Amino acid sequence: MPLFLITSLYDEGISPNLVRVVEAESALAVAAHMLHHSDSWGYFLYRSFGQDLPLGILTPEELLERINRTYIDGDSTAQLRITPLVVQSLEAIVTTPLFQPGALFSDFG
Amino acid sequence: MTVKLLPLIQQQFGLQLIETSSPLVEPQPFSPSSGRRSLVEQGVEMVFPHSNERTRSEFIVAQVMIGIALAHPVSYFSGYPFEVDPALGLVGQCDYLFSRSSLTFRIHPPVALIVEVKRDLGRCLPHCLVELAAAQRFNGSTAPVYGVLTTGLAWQFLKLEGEIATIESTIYKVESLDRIESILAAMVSEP
Repeated sequence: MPLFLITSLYDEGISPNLVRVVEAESALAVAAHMLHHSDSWGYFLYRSFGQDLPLGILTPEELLERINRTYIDGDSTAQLRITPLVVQSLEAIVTTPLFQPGALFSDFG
Repeated sequence: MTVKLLPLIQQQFGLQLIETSSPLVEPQPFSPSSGRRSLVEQGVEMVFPHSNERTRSEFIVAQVMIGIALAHPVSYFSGYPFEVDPALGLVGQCDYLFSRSSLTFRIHPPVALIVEVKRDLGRCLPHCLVELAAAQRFNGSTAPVYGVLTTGLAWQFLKLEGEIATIESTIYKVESLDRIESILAAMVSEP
């Protein structure tokens, strides 16, 4: 089963409270789980969407689309991301950034 | 969610949270330079309800804070690392922080005032309360530490003294800038 890293980030960076690693079929499956278990994911959703998320109406596809549009606004709104993880051996590590879905301007600076 | 976070914080630090309609401090006369006041007023014209946090901070809050810092014998820190107790997770960056210490190379006690800026005023309180509890620990004293919750357009004030956190129920609009600055001046001045 693939691994996914779920992050809810403000501009202060990562803490153990703001990351989760889950096993899931896909990012869409994680989004669906968020919809069906919104209490469990409540704090992450709140940090990105406040109370404005129409949970009863959204499809997993729509939630995932909204998640991918979240961005860090200081510490007012959090960037929420569901990032697929690829476990590598230490010998295989390369950190040079790539232009790929999910990349940011600041990856290159 | 604030309803869930506040009890968590109160329990962690043994705090009682009370609300009052009375001012937390006696406002102190404060007159920023005309140039500084003009910068704030121009900033207010450039901030709208949908403006992001950075815009609010740069155009309004920072201008007000610089005015206060320039007029008082305090050290002023903007977005500076504030490391109090890593084992408890009391580490972070306060949006704006004033210390009454004259040392500026890092934050020294006593911390007097911490400012939390967010787009939604209702979401400021838990974040600021944790920062105040950390500051109290950092100061090693139960003397008052003040907090400011602001969107730039709306301002609310908080005090932590001992185990009592008091929030003033009044929400001051930025149009009452004289009053806001007088309160801030009193908060950084009070020993």
